[in-house]
Amino acid sequence: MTTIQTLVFGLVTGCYLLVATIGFALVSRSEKFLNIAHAELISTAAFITWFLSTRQGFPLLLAAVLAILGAAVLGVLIGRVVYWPIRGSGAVVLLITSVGVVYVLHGALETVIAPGVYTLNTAGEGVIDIGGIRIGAYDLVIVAAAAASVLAVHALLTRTAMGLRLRARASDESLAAARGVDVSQVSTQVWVIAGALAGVAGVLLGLRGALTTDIAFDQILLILSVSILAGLGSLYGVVAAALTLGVAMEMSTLIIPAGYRTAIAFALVIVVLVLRPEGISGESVRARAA
Amino acid sequence: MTYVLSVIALASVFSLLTLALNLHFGIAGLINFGIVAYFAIGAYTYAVLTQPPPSALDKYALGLELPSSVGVIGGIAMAVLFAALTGWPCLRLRTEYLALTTFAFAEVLHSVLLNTREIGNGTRGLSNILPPFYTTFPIEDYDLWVAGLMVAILLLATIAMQRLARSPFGATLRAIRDDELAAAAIAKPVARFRLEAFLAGAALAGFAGILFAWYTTLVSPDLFTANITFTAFIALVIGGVGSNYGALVGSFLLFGIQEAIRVVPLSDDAAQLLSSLRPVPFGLALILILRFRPQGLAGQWAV
Repeated sequence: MTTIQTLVFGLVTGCYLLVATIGFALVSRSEKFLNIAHAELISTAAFITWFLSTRQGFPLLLAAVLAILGAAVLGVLIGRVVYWPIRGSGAVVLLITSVGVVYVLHGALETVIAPGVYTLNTAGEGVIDIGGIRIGAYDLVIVAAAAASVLAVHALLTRTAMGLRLRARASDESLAAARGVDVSQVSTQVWVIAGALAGVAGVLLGLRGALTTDIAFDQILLILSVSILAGLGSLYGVVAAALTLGVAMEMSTLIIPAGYRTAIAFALVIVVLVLRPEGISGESVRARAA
Repeated sequence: MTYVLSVIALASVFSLLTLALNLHFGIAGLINFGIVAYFAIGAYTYAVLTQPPPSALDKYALGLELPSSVGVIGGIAMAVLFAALTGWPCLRLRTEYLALTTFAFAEVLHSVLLNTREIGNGTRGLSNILPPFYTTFPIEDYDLWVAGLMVAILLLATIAMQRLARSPFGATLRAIRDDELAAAAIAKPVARFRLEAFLAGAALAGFAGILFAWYTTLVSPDLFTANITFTAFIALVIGGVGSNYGALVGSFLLFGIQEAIRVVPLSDDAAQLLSSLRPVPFGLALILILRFRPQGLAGQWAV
């Protein structure tokens, strides 16, 4: 029974990882760089939720909606002001710039909210018992939010004209531009969507447990692991990779001391990068890596 | 006076690390996002080789009480060995894949140091670090002598790196960085050059780690986080990627400003606020320099 219970916890963790990673994957697929600052947006959204609901007495749902909006606005602001002007400088310069963004957002967060541990007021949470498996009501929210996010992103990419433009730009930017796609506008849309997804992940992070002001670093480690497992830039691989890593991490605590969890996740990352850099799904990057 | 000396010593240590990063990233084009690993290996190896054997309260397994010269050689050798082990998988990859693999190795190492007591006492770290020339240098001016020693090491390393960068070896590395196919086409053994640059940079990073252990007189996992790597990147970008003098300029500016702010007398609340705010200007500097002056402040002295 404990095994099944742990499996359920693992799937919930996987659902959170899915929401946290999908925005990051969207950016790396269409903006062509690893945005290390994505996790800072997640933690900023988590702390907006915390601030509005516990300090200002807003209802949790309203606080969550405002946090998601805030993350979307912040995301698009950074995307336009910081990343767009240097888009031609190459993936490495953009990656190092995103480290600068991490420093700025992290410093700003710890200045506004003193470093420490904070918790959302989730005391009213009910626990549901399904045939001996206990699952918190907020865990169900996490699963539902993950399902909704994946379906929404999928529908957006495959069923709308905006999604078509986005995919066209992701596969060949100059060709898309030549065919009349407004690549600047598409980039703005990507940053809004990625920011909003980071906002959702931030709210879920608050529901999952205590928040620390330096929580973003652990989150980016997990996000990187999931997206490497999935294959950098692959969106649908993220679903399988997030659930696999979530279950693997929770199950591994049954056998191995929890302290080694990051070491194991990253040892796995190294193995994947060396043996199969294209990840679980996704096209071959051997040609690029050779 | 002691304070100024300590800033000079710390800036020298990080200049050395930034020089190593410049060899990897600036000259050879290897984006090493885990350079802290080689820095940590140097420091920990020096500590294990020179510290006394464990007493009743210590959890670490090994202390050899060897002289500091053996510690220095051993620390550098271990950093090179670790680079050889990690270089094999890492150097087959390019750009962000290389960045992620090196980053992952550093995180694995950090996690191992944090969780195994036998190597470095786990989270508590090792605090019996043998200071260099403790019996040779006059005790009343010891800080001055150590700071002087670090500056002297830095100057020698800078000259060595500058010679290396200007040698045919350095020119080939830059050629590989700028156009790997073209370098391979004129029969340069690309893989061997990259590995040699990786090992040489790791040796220097390990040496910097040993100096860092002299400076802090203790090693513990929370001193060797990804922040060290990012600090070296910030210093290198400020000074100028590809420029050895830039590595020095960036490091001394970074630590000079950081420590100058720290001496301003402030109330506790204001000091707390300022300490939280501290990453912001460095992050901004990184963003602004990459955008408006990508060659850095000392970029005109690039090789």
